[in-house]
Amino acid sequence: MTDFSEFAQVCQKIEKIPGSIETTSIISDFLAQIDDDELYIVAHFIRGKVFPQWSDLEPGIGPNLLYTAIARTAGIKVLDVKNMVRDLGDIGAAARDSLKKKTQVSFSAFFKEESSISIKEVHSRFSDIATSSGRGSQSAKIRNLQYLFSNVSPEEAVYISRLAVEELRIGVGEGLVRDAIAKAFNVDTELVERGYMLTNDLGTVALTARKEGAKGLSNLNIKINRPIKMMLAQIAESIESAVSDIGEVAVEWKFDGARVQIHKDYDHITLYSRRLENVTNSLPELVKKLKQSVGAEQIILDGEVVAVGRNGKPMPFQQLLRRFRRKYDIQQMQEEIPLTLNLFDIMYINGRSLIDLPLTERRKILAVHIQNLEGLTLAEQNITGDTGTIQRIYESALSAGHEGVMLKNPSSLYTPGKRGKNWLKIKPIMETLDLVVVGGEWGEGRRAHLIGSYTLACLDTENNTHLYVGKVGTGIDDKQLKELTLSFKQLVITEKGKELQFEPRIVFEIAYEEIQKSSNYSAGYALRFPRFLGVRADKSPQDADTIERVEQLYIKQGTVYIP
Amino acid sequence: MFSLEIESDKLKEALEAAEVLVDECKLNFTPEGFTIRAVDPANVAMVTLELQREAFINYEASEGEIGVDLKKLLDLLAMSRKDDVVNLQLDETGHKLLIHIGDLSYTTSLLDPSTVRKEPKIPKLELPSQIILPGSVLVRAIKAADKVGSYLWMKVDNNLAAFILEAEGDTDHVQLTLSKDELITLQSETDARSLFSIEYLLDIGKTLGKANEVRINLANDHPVKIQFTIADGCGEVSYLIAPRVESD
Repeated sequence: MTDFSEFAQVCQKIEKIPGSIETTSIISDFLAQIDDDELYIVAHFIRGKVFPQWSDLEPGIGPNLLYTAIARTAGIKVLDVKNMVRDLGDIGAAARDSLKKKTQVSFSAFFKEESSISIKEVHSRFSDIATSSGRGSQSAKIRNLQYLFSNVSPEEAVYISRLAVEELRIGVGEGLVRDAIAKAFNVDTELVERGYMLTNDLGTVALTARKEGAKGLSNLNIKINRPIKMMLAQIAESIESAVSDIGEVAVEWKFDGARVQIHKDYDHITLYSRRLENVTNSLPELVKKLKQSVGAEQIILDGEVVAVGRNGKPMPFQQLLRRFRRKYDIQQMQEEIPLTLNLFDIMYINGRSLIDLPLTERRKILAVHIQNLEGLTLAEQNITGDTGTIQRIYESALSAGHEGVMLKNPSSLYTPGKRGKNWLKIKPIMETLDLVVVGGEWGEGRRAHLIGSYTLACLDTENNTHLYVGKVGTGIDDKQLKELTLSFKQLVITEKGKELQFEPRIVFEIAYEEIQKSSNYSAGYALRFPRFLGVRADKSPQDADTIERVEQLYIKQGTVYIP
Repeated sequence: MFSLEIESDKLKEALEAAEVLVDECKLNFTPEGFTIRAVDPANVAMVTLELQREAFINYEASEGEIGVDLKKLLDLLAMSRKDDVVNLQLDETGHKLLIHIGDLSYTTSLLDPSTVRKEPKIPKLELPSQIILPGSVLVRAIKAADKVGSYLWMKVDNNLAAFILEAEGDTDHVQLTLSKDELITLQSETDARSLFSIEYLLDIGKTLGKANEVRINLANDHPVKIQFTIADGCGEVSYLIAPRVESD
């Protein structure tokens, strides 16, 4: 039985060394020495995950829950922990410093034994936390964390708390773990990579590598009812550049909807969201249609769900989200927000993985097994190298209210989880907004001691006030972040924990994917995927965009929901 | 393995005494009655509970254990009316519980005992100061303390011959001093003082309010033991709460 302290020491070592070769060998040595159950756990832990990628489970520990558990174990105030996170820029360091003195004693102190905790016990507590739900679950989560914190050293608490939020911050990603598994069990990296792509589970891959070697790894396959990562697309500069890069392309509409992966296992149908959450229960009409339409016993499909309004155009994305993960009133919502499903790829059929086939081959197999029904269709696809034709398809997609087009390399394989050049998306660029910065938040980790996120507001000229529309943290490079932090430090009105309020002086130019209705922000709208483009030094706060303009842009998106 | 019949309220009282600390537990059966031993997830509050066969109208059991989802079971028992008698039986597979409450009959799945968290070891403790007082007095002190801060001092002052409950917040302070004649019993050779988190006391306060006599055992910077009887003296609940200790 390996102690969690040994895992913590490995993390500490890795944190101190920059080189990835050395990191790989530290991890591989550790993987080789621990027992089977621990190997499965550590293959996830080491890159800051508690559960395998395909699993529905997540710790579900928000910062406040974590701060509370630390505060209660240490006997200090939650605000003290928050301040420490702000000053140290890292929840791990804050946990360590908070827990140098613990005042809440647990019963372990009254047995004459060293208190220590095994890797397995840490995992089992996180599982308890992940599965606790309903009345009293918050308290149960906090108490399980308290148990962990009260039984580990301050140094171990660093990694307990970082695991809790699934950010280990030792710079170990999938690639390094893959290399370490290959090294530890003396198998080919390619085989490990392949196994990971197919199973979506580094633990399974590590165990297989240890127990069955190369032969076992090559026998790993996609499993029905276990989601694989979705293949992703890059944004193309233009239709012309895409065609000159790829040549003939397979053109499909880029639907304005939500991605789903469908697993059919005889009568049993499961739908997974883009984040690989099981969303089957909220989409019963799709399950029914899939049963009618799909003519294979076992199949894995890729597609996009669209919510269709009365005008035949897609409803805004957030209307669609009201359908996903819904637990109540599902029947009523089916009428209010009807869905259609567009299928465009297939990864598996009757025990056989298809991801190593070219797109054109997969498409043929897909077409054979799908019967078009009302509300469930095989997405239309045209193979062409003619930019004029592509432009026409693009325009028809836009006028139907969709996002644009996908241009896919016809000979490309299905590469799970990869955002490669084989799938390209073309979409119109949204007009930008100029917004006043009214608040911010101190960052953590790489952004420690820097203001990492900025609260944005538009003007309400009628009431002479600011209305919040969201926060931005992306699109700001390190140099800009330092400069912005310096400027905004002069403008701080109040500071509470990590949160800051600024005098409204500076205007940011902000790009975004979409404007959504939102009750979270006082403007009643929120920006989806906001991105910092620059400071509008030429604009004074009075010249920022108004709520009326936000509203206009929302309507102009062409996705106004007509009930 | 067992078949029992009991007044619904008695069973609820016993199960609630454990449910305030844990969602799931094991029930250990012997021919003499059943026991529960459980610790809260933080390993700060423990409960041991015993319900003797005399508490039941009918009691037949051999040695054995079952895993119980306490919340679910209490939810079902909430359907009972005053004076209802509950009948509990294991089905032949041993995985399901058959429950009859008046005219309702339920079948509910049991938990695999191996999935329920291991029962805690009970630390051996010397807790020389003993106080006996009505449950309602203790509960009132806990509630008063909760309004002021997060921690409650329990103290025995031998000079004053008093049991003192005291809480201090950032700005406020509350104290309840109970002299020997206000208590049912105060036995202590020395002073004692230990500090506890009110959240755990609030949890157990939900069940001890009804007890006429609650026995408290206390020492310095040690756990407190809080005991009372249930089911008209045919059962006993005992809580242990670990202290907060200011040390390095």
